[in-house]
Amino acid sequence: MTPAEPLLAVSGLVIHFHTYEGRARVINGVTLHVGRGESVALVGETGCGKSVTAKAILGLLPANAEVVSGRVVFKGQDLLRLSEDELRRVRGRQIAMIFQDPSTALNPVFTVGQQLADVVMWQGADRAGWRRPDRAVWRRCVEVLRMVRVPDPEGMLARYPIELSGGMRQRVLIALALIGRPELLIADELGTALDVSIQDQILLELRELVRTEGLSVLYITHNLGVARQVSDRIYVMYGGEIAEVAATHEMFRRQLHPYSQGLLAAVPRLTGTMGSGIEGRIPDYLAPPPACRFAPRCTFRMGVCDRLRPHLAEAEPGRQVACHLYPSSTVEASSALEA
Amino acid sequence: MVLVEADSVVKHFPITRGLLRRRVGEVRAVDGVSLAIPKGATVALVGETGSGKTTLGKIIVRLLRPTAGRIVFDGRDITALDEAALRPIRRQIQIVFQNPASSLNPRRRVREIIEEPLVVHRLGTPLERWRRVHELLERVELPPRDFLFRYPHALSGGQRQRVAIARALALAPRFIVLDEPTSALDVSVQAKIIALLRRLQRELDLTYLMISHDLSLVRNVADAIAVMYLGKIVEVAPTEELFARPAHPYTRALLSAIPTVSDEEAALIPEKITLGGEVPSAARVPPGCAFHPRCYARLDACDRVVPDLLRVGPDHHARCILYDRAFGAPGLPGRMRVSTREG
Repeated sequence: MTPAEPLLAVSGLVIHFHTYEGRARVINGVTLHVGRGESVALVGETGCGKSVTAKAILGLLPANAEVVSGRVVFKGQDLLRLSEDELRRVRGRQIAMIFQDPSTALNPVFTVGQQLADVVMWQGADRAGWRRPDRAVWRRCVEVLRMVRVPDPEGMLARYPIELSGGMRQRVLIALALIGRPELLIADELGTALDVSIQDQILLELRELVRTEGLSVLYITHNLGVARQVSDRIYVMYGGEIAEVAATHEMFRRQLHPYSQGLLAAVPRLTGTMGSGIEGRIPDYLAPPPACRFAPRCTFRMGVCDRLRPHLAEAEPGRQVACHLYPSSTVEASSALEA
Repeated sequence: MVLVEADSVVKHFPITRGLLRRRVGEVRAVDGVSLAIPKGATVALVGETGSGKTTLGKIIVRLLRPTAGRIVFDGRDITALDEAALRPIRRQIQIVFQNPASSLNPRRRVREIIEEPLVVHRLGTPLERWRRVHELLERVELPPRDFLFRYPHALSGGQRQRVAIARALALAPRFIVLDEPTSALDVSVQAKIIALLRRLQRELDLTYLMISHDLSLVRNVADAIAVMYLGKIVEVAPTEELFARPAHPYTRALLSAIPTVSDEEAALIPEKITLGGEVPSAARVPPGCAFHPRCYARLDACDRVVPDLLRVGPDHHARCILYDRAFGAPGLPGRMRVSTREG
């Protein structure tokens, strides 16, 4: 692996779901990367496929999902081609996920200490096996709790999830993800279930931790404000495709894709403005629009939008967008197939 | 003219233990709240989880009976009315709940859901009710032909909330409590629902009490805002005034915690305040000012003195002794670069 190579590179990912009604073409060619030490946000609304993308990276797709094509390359190896045993050595160790819902992601019948110790011991072995946690295990548990600034970490070990506030549970979940000293964290809707004052604390602390530990993070979020706060670069996702990519400050200065424009305009502002929202609803994945998946809702819709799929390409230096308003996206059929 | 008024409303829930349900304590969910909602206005009640905003909303629509205090609707005290006497008033007061996925009966079609209030109140003949349901669906921008016979599970989140709004409108109410009406929705859908609520308010001359945790949302819809913390209103002001001069330390911290999407918004609250600690349980409210353990501007007296709601500007009140003459009224420093944490 060369230094220039990103830590994680997803390319041309296509995922279909087999459902009772038929084949749902959910992820339709997603390409993204996360560089070393970079914080990247994958932003989109409910049903855009952002969580499916995250699950595909970790090999946690449900049984009815089929990866039709694409690669998920992490540190030079394609995770989609690893066996379950090989994947276990990556998952939870080199890549860890911080789960979304702090009230359901912890097991209610075990103490925080038991749940942390389990993961610590599993880190040391290929198979979990049963042994009693020794002093070193508990020390590691306390260490990770301290990293996420849990007050009285020793006391926390004996408590059950139900005794904790939402913010504390979220901290424990972050601690769980940190146990294996991962290089890449995937944070699914981090903090958005919490009150803003708690969310603010946790995001601030995590950002500090990411900086001091040199972690790379992929944030999955629907909250543009959160993405602006935590990320260096943003991917906007719509209908199972990447609509636009840009550095975070560029994205908030000016959006190129009509969907990003509508999305950002719809966010209510503290300065007292609020856009009118976007007409229509997300595509039906069983029968998605033939070319551009956003076309039926787009105010700039042209003839070509229903005929040719827009290609994610550089429209301006450092900015990629998939929209026929930009000539770079309009590639005739023969060459577009390779994308 | 004031349409709805809450006067020193208190709601305590008992905490009981054991077989005999012995009373061992109480949760002070709402602790002396007074609020006046002018006719035709939108007043917002803002606060975090456990601040008592939803309990207060339920008391105002009389789904709960307050422990003490009065609710006055259109000049009439409705606090102690029994169910029979409440009936005609219930037609004028409606509520839209947060999650339309759980507030709509999954076994009823849209037509039956919207018709139900009319049936309960024995209004109109079947044909008249049928016409009314049609008209209501059109009002909330759902073509009746496509939606009358659908079940809630076949609707998107935004469509479901439109059905819930149509149901609330069925009895032609004058006042609607909106309890987090858009917090289960995506932003692009939220904007559509807010636009609809605004249009309905104009067309039907409605008065709203909007309960929300989202200050940036209420900034765009409310005429006045009341901020709640642990069962009490800590600050209340007209919207523009509240955002121009937030007075209470808690309000300022809340504003500063909101993840914004533009530099103009960030410039509104120049000092970054990150609150430490967490909201205490309403069963163990701290003595003195309930906010003092987390406050970054507290005085020595804050753990003893229970602050009153003090006037800090035109129609602008804050519950903080920083504005109390007895303590020299130092006020909240304009710019602060503080980052505090508890302990």
